[in-house]
Amino acid sequence: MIEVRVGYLPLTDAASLIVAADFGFAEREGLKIDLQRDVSWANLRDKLIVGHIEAAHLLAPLAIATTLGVGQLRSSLRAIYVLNANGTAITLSTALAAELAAMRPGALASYSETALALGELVERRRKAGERSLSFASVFPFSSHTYLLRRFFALGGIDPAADVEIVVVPPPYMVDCIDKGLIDGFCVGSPWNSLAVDQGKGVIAALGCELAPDGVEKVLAVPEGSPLINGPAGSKLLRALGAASHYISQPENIARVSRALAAPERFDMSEEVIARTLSGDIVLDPAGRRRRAEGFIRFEGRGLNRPDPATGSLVFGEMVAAGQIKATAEGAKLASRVFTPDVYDRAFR
Amino acid sequence: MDTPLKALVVDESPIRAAIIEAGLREAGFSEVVRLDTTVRLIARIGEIDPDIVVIDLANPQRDTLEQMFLVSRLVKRPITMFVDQSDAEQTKAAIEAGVSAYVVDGLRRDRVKNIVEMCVTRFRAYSRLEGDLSRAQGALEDRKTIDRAKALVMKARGIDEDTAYALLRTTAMNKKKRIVEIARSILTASELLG
Repeated sequence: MIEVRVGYLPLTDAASLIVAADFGFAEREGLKIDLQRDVSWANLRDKLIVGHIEAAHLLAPLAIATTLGVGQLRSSLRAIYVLNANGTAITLSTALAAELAAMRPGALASYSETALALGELVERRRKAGERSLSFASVFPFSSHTYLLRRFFALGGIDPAADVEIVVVPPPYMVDCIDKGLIDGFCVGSPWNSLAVDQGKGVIAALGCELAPDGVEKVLAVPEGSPLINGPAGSKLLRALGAASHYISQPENIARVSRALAAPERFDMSEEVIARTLSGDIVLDPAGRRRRAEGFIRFEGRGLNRPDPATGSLVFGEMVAAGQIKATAEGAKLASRVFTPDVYDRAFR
Repeated sequence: MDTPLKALVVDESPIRAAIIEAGLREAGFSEVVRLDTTVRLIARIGEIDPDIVVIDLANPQRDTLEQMFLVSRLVKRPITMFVDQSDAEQTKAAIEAGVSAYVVDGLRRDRVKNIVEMCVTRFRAYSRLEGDLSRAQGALEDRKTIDRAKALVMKARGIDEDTAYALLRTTAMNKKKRIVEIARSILTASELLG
């Protein structure tokens, strides 16, 4: 039995790793996945680099940033499997949502209406000399940062000048709203739903609306990893492929949610995880709902195969956000992070 | 004479933070600020303007620090994670011990290396201490369980303390179990049977 240590954060999009480990899909491949829960993306990055873990559930843009040496630490990483698309959402504090609704009737009817109303509010606050609004992402190099920027763009808001984007770890988001430190955030499942359930937030935009098919988390390994060339990599990806398919069947949602909710995994409410897996989203504390097919997606439309083109697109987002200079070399390195080789060998 | 150095320690454990603080003072840091409730980290970091930040890896706010060191106007001087390129083992040891350090550019590398070494040693010592403590607490709990089971046996059989304990011990030996396991099953049975 080959053993692979994999680090993850407690988020719905780590589901295929947990299902592969706990539902016998890894075992069937002669593999044991030793899952290690962590608390920060920086920890996963560091542990992957020093070899404390062999693979990590990682933000796609962080794999690229680390390879390019933007931010802390430089080390070449490879994304060998795309774990999911979307699953994120933008949530506003109930106070901000109420202010927008009072200002413009219908401001919360759709994400574009909300963005426009927010643009108007930002302008009013600027003229009145009030403090600029603050929104939290989960990491500088994350789809969350780029989704916030897209949302702001729809309202004519300049993210560099008109608002502030900070980073807050998901478990602290609600607390930061309570203390008035932030006015909204973009986070992965199930944290938006948890904020709504606690009566603290209103979901204003879904990641799947702002960036359909947006690549979210990848399975990252170091460049020279034996998982890239050895047999264990194929086994791991086949186990993940089977798990991704299993999660995507509506009749399995209850079982999967229960496994993710377990104390040794996420230690969260099973019901709220089931809601995010099925795309049945409760938008506000009053119980307004939206059914979003593909709110989070684990397979289909070639999603799981790392496509070098995705690397280039993420690089473009990083450039647009002012995180890195546009260079041909950077774009090339970024595209190389998304390597389909292991996937192609596993599923040929 | 060096300019006075300021350190920030982000650690939820007050005891460990105090041990690290003492080490930093010995290393010449005249000002050491400790933060445990780190929700205010964003607002505080600019005021503190530290030369070194030591953070417990169990703290999710590490991601917040990374962002601030990258872009925030609040951070006045460039700060990067300390990694000694000539000593990969030290980085590995620090991660395994559960600590990370970010230092302001220009701080002497050999000096920082010693400080990180100190943090790693103290974090390790603290985990050992914690392990000993939880084992000691476990032993105490076991003792209480055995005493309660012994009292039940004494009452049920009308025997004295020594005989009751001897009975527990022989039963444990015959069943190849620890006395505390036998004691636990007696307590469970007694709860069930009222």
